[in-house]
Amino acid sequence: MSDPFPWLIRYVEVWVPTEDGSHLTLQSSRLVGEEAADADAPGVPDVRPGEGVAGRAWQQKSATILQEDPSRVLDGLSDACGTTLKAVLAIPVFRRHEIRGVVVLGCGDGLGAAEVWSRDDRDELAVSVGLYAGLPSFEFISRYTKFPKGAGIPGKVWTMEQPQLARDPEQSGTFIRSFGNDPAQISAAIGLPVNHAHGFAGSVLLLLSDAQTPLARDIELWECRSDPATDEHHLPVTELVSTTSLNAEHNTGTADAAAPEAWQQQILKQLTATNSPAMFKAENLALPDRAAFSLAIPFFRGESLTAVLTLLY
Amino acid sequence: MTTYAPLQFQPVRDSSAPRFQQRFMNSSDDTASSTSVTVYAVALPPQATIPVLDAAEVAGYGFRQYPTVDSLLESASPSATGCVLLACGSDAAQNAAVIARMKLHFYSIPLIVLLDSNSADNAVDLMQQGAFSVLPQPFEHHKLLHTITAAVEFSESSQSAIDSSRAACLRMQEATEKELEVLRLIMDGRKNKEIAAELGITVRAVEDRRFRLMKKVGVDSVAELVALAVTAQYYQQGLTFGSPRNGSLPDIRRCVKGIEVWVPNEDETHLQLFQSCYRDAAAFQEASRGLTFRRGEGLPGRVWESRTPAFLRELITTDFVRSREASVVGMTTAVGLPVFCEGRVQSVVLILLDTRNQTKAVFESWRLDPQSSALRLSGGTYINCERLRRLSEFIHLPVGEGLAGFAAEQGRPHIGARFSEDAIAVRGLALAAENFVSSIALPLTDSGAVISDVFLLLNSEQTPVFSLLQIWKPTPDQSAMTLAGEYVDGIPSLTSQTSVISRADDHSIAGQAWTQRSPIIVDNGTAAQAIVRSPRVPAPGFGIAIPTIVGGKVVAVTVMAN
Repeated sequence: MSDPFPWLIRYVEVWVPTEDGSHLTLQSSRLVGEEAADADAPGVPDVRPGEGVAGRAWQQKSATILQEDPSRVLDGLSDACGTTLKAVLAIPVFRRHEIRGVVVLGCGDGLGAAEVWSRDDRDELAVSVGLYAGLPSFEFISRYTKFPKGAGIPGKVWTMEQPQLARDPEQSGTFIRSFGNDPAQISAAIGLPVNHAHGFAGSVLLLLSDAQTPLARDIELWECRSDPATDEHHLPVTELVSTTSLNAEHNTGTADAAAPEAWQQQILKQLTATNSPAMFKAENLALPDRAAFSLAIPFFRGESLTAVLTLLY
Repeated sequence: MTTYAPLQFQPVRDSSAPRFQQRFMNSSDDTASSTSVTVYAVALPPQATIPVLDAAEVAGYGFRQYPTVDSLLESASPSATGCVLLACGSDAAQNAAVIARMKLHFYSIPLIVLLDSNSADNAVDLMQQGAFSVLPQPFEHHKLLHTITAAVEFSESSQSAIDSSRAACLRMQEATEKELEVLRLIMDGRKNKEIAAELGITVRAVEDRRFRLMKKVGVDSVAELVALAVTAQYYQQGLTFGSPRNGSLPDIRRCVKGIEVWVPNEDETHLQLFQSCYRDAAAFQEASRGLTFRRGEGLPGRVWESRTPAFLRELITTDFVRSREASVVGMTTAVGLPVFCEGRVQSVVLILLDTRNQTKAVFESWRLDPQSSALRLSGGTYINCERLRRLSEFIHLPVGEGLAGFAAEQGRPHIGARFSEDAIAVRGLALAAENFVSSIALPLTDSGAVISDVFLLLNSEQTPVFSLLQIWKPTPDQSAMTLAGEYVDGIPSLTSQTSVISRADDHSIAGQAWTQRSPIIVDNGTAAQAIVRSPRVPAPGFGIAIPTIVGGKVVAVTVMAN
């Protein structure tokens, strides 16, 4: 099987907390694309807050972008992956105050952008760090743009405290910073919040991709509802309320309209049990669209699992 | 006394001149030509769509389809390259209007008209009105393909000529007046000795000027220099207010219906009309006579009280005092601007607009936050560019950056143009994408000394609010003012730096605004004489001069005219 596209994300790591919660340990790492395979991640097996990219995202309770060049971390990862990484993104997942994991994404060559939007002293979101490829005018105007709560995709993420997915934002006219001047055409946008304690922690990771180098084969956002009742394993009952997909045909309205598929139920069940991000291989789970694996990231408001973002590769 | 540089290029004779000039009538687009060639199909019947699409594909062009002319004009850039295929009916007047709109919108896109068999008799009329070709339906594939290819070739060559002409014009801007004097005489066929005699300088000085000019504009021979000047001249001849044939404005560009200056009475209890000029608005003019406004009353009173610009997008639906008369004469939008003198609102300027006819314009007010030293949008009206409004709401401009931030830092008005290349214009690419070609930023001094707000006007290519923008600056000894910047439809004048108004000059509105420290309006009867301008800038119909007073001194006078 060969992939039709070179993916913008070339490498994925999932870090989860140790039992005592003092460290993060590397649970899994994976190359993306044609050569999809488990990868040996370099560096120390466990990290404390502030150590490495994952530890830094944990300590700062913020999404992080590492793009120094030359960079020991990037070079190490690139060597281990056998592919050149241009930058590394990390997003921490908290359930109330507790770290539940950090997802690290390694970006290769491609067209698109990754931005960390952070709340400033005027209570607005501004780009604190950005990575851009093929978007010079978009990058320029972004330096002067600030979004209050509710405005733009970052502001909506802040209001909803939930990830937001937008397909063809330029075409729909919802993407106000783009005037079609750049070589890259943004075909998909994903905004991911960092929630901590009872709500938004002040940071949004915004991922933007061109159709030529998509972020993933498909991306699904599941809106979830947790029931106070528990199942036979004393786990909270979590329902899939709706699915939004970058592939329009996968969208569903409510759980009544379309029952979750088996792979979705299985991922949801594991996330409900562990409360941590995880990777699922096609060998163990019948994934749709001939995907080799799926990365699932849970999002919590307080203690409740409210959304899951799945990236299918 | 007013002095001009004696630059007068000889008329350029070219067999293709009429059509060519027409093509770059408004060719001040900074985005230059598009790299992709597109066949635009408008209102095609289903049976015609597939053959046109096939022909476009065979020729390797893009294809876009639009249900109406309006939808095409909203989407397609005036500087696009390609051709338009339009299905026309038998209504001759309607066809003529559509062709006129197309010609006004596009610089270099020919129009191919598809006629049904009942309307074939109109073909000659359509060609005379400016259609590139007329094809009766049903049409043969090879004929369609040939016509489209020929139209695209014409479009590409026109666009290329516009680009070359514009590039030449920009290079010639480097020339000084003295160098242009010599160039003019060279173009007249004079020898160095004759030039030296005429200018009263030595032959060596003539050669020096010529050499310096050739070096500046990057040419190696006199022949190349003359060729460059001729090409630049083509572009300059495009600087007209409307049609070059009769000098009148097309209706679409007549968006300003009136300008008023309101001043407080001696007791500062109310505002009274000090000066005004109107265009086709007799009922409104009559209603304005003797009218006064207290603080907070009507638009002028609101500006007076709030000490900030105010905007009324819809005069009909708001409490505009003269809304009935505005409706009668077709005024739809009004903008109010305070003019400060030593901390006092010395006057209120009202610009009254008719924005119904595809007008595109933006008026903004940017407020300076002293704590963050950045400007944020505090108000504005966006006419037919909603997207720019949505972007601008979230922009913050550090002092010194952006059109407004730059004017705030300088404490002087600033004219912006060539937005796609202008590093100062933070939203430059967005402005270029929306076909804005020039801007004027006026800093306002609420306290009399420190800039508090910046008023910004953006002129679109098709419907500029004010085609002519000038900034005059007093000389250090305050004996005269020099023209520091002059733009027509976003194109800088080549000779702006030598125009001078002496303090004793009382016939120009710029001079009067300087000495009287008040806005001055000039209307149709006297504008040509009262607006001092560079030699080849055509006479405007009316205009206003607004002084910028900072720290008690007039630091600049802005002239806006149409």
